[in-house]
Amino acid sequence: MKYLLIICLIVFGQLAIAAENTAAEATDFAVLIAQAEEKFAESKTVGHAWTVTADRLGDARKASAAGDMKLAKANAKEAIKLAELSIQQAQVETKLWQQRVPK
Amino acid sequence: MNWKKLPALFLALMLSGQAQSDPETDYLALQKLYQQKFPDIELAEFKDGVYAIDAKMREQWLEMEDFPAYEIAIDEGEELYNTPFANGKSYATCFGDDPGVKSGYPRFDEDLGKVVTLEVAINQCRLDNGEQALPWLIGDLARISSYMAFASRGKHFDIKIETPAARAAYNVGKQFYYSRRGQLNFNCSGCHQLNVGQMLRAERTSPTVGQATHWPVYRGKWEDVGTIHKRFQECNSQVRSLPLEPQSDVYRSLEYFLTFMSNGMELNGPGSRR
Ligand code: HEC
Repeated sequence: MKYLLIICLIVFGQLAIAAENTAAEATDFAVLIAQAEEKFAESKTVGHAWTVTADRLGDARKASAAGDMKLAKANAKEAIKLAELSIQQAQVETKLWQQRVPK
Repeated sequence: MNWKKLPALFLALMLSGQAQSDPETDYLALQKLYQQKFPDIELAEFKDGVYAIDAKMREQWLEMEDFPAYEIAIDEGEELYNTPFANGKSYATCFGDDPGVKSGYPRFDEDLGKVVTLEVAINQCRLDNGEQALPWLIGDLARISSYMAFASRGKHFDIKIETPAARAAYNVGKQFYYSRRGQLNFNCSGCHQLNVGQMLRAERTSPTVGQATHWPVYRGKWEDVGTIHKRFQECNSQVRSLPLEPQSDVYRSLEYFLTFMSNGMELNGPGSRR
């Protein structure tokens, strides 16, 4: 009887942790996807958005809808990275483009 | 010599250098580039795009041109053009008796402060007469535009960039053309100038000069005639750059710049391309 109680406690504990993890992952994802959206919007504003950023954003949302939060977060992170690179490209190009105009 | 003035002098020199880079100068420099790359090809021949620089492709293309796929589009476009609007007016009310007006487009509208392409003018004519605008990329608008291009055949582009605002719009297009974009980090000039004529998968890239003369274009891939903004979108997305909206301000400026690089050339649209 005593053992059963202990087992029950452990199982409940595990379940609680799992639920908390899922909740934490969902908040993590919400933060990441918001950040990714913001960066993507910024890359559009500076006129250098990439198709792959949009693709990763779509993948992230799809994975989140399917409950695969690990994949969802990985895609959101990738989208952030790509958007940042495209914004960098915009900054560099405001100076470099003139060098390519035939003289 | 007052050495303290040197930075100011330097700045003035740089600015004058920039001022020199006006549309005319750009145009002449580009012509020189292609004359050096293709010494045996007359500039006027570039109106045939890639078929001016590849004899074998040209042969296949000329066979296609015997029964051009865009012919139906011209006929349908003519019919659409001549069908009166619900208010009894017609496209002729906007464009005059001669539909062959493409040689003057795109033009810069000072009042709007915007570049007006032929497609924008067609849709504006519809809106002004109580009709709905047509979709930009393929379909009826491209057919009407094809008919007007056909009626403009043999004329020569007469694109004007006369005011500071027009020049600013031109510069937006020019900057877009020479800026690298997309994950693959390409600029238009990389494919169409620096590496012009090189094979890219199954295609060879055409020179910038002459790229504007023959639109709309029929492509088997599109199964229809499409406007030049459809091609812009494709050239953007193939380097993984997010395409812009058709007829957005930037694409209009791009068309303004690109058409000026074909200024004075003969119009030979609509065209057919692979
Ligand atoms: C990665 C190489 C590449 C880049 C970058 C590229 N293009 Fe192209 N483009 C092509 C190829 C290939 C074709 C099809 C062959 C041809 O006609 O040039 C083409 C065709 C075109 C055509 C049609 C030519 C015709 O005769 O019908 C236009 C117009 C054009 N490109 C404009 C642009 C513009 C504007 C940009 C920059 C936004 C651009 N291209 C960037 C490869 C490229």
